[in-house]
Amino acid sequence: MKNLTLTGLIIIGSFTSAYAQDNCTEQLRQAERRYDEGLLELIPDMIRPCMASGFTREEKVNAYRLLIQTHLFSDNSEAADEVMYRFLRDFPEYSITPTDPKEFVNLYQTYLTEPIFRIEPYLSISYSLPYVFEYFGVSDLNQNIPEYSSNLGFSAGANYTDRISANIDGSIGISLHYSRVDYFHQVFDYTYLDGTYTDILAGLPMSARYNFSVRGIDLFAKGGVEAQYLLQSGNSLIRGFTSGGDNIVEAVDLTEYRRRLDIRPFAGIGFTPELGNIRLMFDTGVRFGTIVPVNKDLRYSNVDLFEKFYMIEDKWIFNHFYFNFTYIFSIYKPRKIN
Amino acid sequence: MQKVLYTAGLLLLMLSCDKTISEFQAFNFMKYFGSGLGSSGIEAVELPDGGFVVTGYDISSLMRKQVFAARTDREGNTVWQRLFGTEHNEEGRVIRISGNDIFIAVSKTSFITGVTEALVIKLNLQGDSLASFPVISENNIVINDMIIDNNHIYVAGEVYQSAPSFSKYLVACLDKSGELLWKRTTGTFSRRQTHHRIFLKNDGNILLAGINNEVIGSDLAHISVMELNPAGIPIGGINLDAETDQLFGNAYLHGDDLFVLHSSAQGGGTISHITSVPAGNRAAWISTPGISGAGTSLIMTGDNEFIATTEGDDVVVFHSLTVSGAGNAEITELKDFPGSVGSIIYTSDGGILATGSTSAVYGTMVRLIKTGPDLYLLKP
Repeated sequence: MKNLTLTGLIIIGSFTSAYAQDNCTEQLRQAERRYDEGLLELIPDMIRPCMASGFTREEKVNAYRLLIQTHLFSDNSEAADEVMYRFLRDFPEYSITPTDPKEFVNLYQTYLTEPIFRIEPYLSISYSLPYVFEYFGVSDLNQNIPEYSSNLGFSAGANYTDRISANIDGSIGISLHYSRVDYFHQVFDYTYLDGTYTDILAGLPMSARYNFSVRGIDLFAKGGVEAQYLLQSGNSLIRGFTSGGDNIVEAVDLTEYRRRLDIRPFAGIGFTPELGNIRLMFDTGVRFGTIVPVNKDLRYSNVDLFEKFYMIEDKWIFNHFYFNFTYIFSIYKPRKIN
Repeated sequence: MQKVLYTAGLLLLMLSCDKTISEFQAFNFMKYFGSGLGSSGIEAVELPDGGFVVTGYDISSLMRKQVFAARTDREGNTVWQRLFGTEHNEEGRVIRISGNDIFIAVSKTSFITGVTEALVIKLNLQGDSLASFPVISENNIVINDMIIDNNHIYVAGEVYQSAPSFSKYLVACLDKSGELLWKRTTGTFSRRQTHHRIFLKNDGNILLAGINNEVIGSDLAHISVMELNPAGIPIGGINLDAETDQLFGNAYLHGDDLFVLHSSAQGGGTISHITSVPAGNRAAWISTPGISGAGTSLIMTGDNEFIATTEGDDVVVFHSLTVSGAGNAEITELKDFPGSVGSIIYTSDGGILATGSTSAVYGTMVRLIKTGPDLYLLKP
């Protein structure tokens, strides 16, 4: 019985809402006709009752524009300003269209309509690009060196972005990275080593973004540096034997043998599509390592590594190719500037 | 866009370039060799080009020991490695360089009769076997050390009848083709007497250090030092005082001063000391305190400064010692490694090279540990 009552209320509510919307749609049409007929004084009272909840989003934008135009043509600039302020508060992301009346555009341009800053949370997939400067190891390096291969990693973070100049944004943020690199070494004929390096890093990225447009598509080029701190580093190692026998398997924690801080420059390009009111950003680029994480003073200190796994860590850096998906939260604070 | 692609291509090309081995690895490396079935490194020597040749043994598919020899470049990477031997158990015990020839003293034990023979094999620098000859055409010979001068090969060790624990001293001189010039066996077969190390003094005399378990008036094993003239005639000798049975560790001749690393059971463990025996006199000093563990190798790195290794529980520990004239020792424990070290040599770059084996737990292999003058790899 309770369920039936609730369902009934929902149905009645829906009908009431639909009726109110239909009514307000008609009211807006009527108001537009009155505007065309020059009966400006009637328009505010026709529209006002529907502003709170009667319009669709598009109708509300049209209603605001109509009200502003009405006040401008009534020489009531104070009222026009007041409505424009409310309009920008309700629709801060509105951008001028070619169909906007010139008077409306002029008034619009007397306001600060750009976001005061943006918060840009992102998710990222990355592909490691290992680069080895020098091989070390217990076997013959002239014949036999380890193979490093790329693996997928993930990142998440958020940037605070502000406009620095007309086309340049600056941002600073925080990030968390999970990075992997595969490792294989046929150390000797009878034994091999298979593993995956896994690093977890926290970062403070800082970047500048140059925005430009090509054929109506909003593009940008980005460059910056990220200070990264290594939270954890390890390698899940398997030492196997070609003639069979039990493998030696261990997730080796290498954190204490690492230099923890790295400064990583990055560069990339991207575009910022708008899907309705949703503003996204897709960008891709390369993040470079600059500091070799393997602490050279501790390279021969990990007894487990060279005794159990016949491994001495090489001198490498792991660069990353990344692809970011960003959602842009724009924070507006419209105000009159002229 | 094309420029971006070209730049990306160049970047990828850079990432795939081959890398060099830095000078650091000429000073410092750790390398393993062998089959992993029970390979063991005994001794290595440096070549004039800065590379090394190491000997020891490896285990064949028939699970018998074979003489192992490998040449490395100065970074420890393999130039060649070879196995030598027959169907019996054979191991390389000593390696020496003379000109362009490599001499390896080999111990061969018949897997049928258990009889031990001593051989010398001669290789060229490419690892090809040039010759092989018995040290003495007798059975039950064990060679512990060998030195080579311009014309002679001197070997030192022991000869026994029924068991190695009842042996006599053996020292012999051969020419380089293997012909025996003289041999000297001394002692009886009632207990053990063996020469472990042989040195040539500046005056041409031969200095021998080993163990003597037949000291009159003592039931203990003493460290023995014996001096012979170039013809093999004894001209002096001493047995160092002992309060407990002594184990010979190693010895190092500096000028005419001999330093002997030896150990004994003390307080439930094994303690090692260095004893200074200057120019054939009685012991000048014994380093105190002792070093924990059984001593295995010794070199002198400066005036009364030494590096010694001790072993125990499948771990080898490097120690640095500075000993005063009275024997007071300041001991710094350097790094420890699982496994063993059979010998240490000085290298021409002022560093050291330790030859030994990895721990048996994860597969025993021949191991070379090379470090520069700063002992970088031995820092704890």
